[in-house]
Amino acid sequence: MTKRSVVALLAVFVLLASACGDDEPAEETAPEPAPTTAAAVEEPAAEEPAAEEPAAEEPAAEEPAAEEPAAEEPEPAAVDKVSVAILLPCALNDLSWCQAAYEGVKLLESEGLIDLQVVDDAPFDAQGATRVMSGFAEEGVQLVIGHSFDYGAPIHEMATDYPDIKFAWQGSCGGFCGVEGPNIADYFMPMHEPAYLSGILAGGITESGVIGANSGYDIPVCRATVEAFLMGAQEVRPDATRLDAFLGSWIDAALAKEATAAQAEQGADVFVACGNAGSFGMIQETRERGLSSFGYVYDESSLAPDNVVASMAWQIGETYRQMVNDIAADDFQPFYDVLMSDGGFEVQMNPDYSAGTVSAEAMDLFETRLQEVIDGTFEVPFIASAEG
Amino acid sequence: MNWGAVFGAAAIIPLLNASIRLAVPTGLAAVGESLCQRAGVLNLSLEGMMLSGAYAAFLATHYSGEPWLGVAAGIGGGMFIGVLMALFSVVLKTEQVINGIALVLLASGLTSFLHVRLFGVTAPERFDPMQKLEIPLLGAIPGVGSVLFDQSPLVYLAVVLIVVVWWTLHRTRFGLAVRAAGDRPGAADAAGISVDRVRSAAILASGAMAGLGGAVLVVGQLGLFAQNVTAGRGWVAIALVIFGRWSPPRVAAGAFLFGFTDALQLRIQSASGGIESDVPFEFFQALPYLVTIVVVVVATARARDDAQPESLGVPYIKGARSA
Repeated sequence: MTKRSVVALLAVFVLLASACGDDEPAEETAPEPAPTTAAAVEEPAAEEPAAEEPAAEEPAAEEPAAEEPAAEEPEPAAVDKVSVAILLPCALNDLSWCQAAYEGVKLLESEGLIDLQVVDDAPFDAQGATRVMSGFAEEGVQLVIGHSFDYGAPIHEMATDYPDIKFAWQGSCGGFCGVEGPNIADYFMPMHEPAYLSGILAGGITESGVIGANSGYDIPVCRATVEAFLMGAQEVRPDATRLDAFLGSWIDAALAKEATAAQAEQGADVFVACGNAGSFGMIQETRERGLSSFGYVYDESSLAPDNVVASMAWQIGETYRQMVNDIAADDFQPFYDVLMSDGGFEVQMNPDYSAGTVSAEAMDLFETRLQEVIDGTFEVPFIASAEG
Repeated sequence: MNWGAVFGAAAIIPLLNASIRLAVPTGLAAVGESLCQRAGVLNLSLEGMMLSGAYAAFLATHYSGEPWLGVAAGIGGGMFIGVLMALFSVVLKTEQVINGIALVLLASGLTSFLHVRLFGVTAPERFDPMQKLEIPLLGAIPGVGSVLFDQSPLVYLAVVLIVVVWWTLHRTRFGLAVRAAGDRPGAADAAGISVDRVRSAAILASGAMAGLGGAVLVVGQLGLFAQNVTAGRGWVAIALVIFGRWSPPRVAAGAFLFGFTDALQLRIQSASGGIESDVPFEFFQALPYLVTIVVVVVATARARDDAQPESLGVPYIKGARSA
């Protein structure tokens, strides 16, 4: 075998494995290359005559779009199904951000409402995301979902080119982020509601009265989450305070673990995180120290059965369900905020939690407020800035 | 703000311990990289080596339940990327920078891909990270005892390896060959040293150390694998090599400084009022980088010689005229 063909072979290998790759991450929940659900991506590419040598570093060429070709045509019976493609910026088994969204769309698929294509570990940068999304748009998918704040900008840029395709992104902006268009929807993450309720539990657990919080970045949803959490804690412990740390990363679990350690040393004994890797590190540290923490976006109690009090589990399927129904009825909305009153979020108690005890007073208040929030009679404020 | 919570007597020991925990993974990778660069190979695949090591360590520990097997696998995982790097850069003599970046993408893609392929939507169970190992008597010394002698066994291993690299580089024939290959590969060749072999060995050693660094994160700290868990540490490590002017002890010191500043900024953030604080959090995050850059500038300005290996990044082609 000549040297050249060895290089060519290896180049193919690199291309395949890092398929829709791009380098560094930036925001909102772990990013980065690689296909996944994508056995399908692998095979067709394999026959491709290897590009020449250094092209290896340019995985751009590979179209991840074709991910699950089986999904599109075969059954003509599925006329009234809405075709949906979703970009997940992380692994679909991350026990958090991406898994919650993945199970949300899977639920709708299993109910026969949608034809689904999933790209997990999708490119995180605007260019890469545009490449994938325009692939779906060209294909005529009815709804393209970008499950990250960072997909807002590329969607804003490309949506005018595809007026017949609907785009949705997780902005939680309510129209204030400059991403707009007749075919664009922003969907809201009402994390402040379960955070407030979880905070009540935390207030009933904490002995020191100090809450530790870590967030990936200083963004509105994270602010609203930690503020609501403290507000809940103060319902039970008026003297409760909170220590904050921002990590500057959605993927650095080890740094989050150290942030939790630092806060524990400063007296915190109950912890909350805004960010999936942030929650992994936090939960591990509370496990080692015998302290208490809350799961982020998905049931994370398996990470530390003794230490996770409850998980704030996003039922994103309910948000997507509304979108899909609206598309079927030709009534697509610019903003979707599916709150707990519509089943958009749950506080899932961990029955094995044993690192602390929730006081009876806190438990009662939690039950009361939970009911009120679900009934829509109690509104948890969304505090996204220091001014309120 | 409550400075006592950061610098008080009770806070100093935990601060130093956290510095060590943050410094070790990056420091291992950086010291390995300094060896590699001294041999003339600009190995940018470091982040990929760490990530590959982290994942191999995770898989081995997950399936065997034995953390030390995970450590060994982590070393192997780093060397796996090293083999590819050596194949591209030394055997095929293609552009080192591109090889390195491609291999980072490979590792990132491959680990994420395998993780979903192997476990589907059922996240694998986490395991307990390796316990600390207190060295008898020494660990009981108040203060410094817990910092120096009551750490994860991987920390001791890291210190030993860093010393070994330094010793090898400056006190052995092989070290001389490494330095010759990095400065004057033509002369080394003429003296009967196989430049290719030396460079390949240096790359593999770098892979082993970076892989161990990744394993420390997974086996020594987190007990789980998360996508791209190394979070850019490999890139920081490459910067630290320049910081340390290609000298293993200085590179290790740089890693400690970086870890220390990181541990410090987390504590200051927490103690300073968090989101109520007037100081934007980005400032705190930038702090380790700022401090490192300042030290690099000062150190470089004061240095008399140019420490960079003369043939760094230049493939050695036997018989070809070097510039």
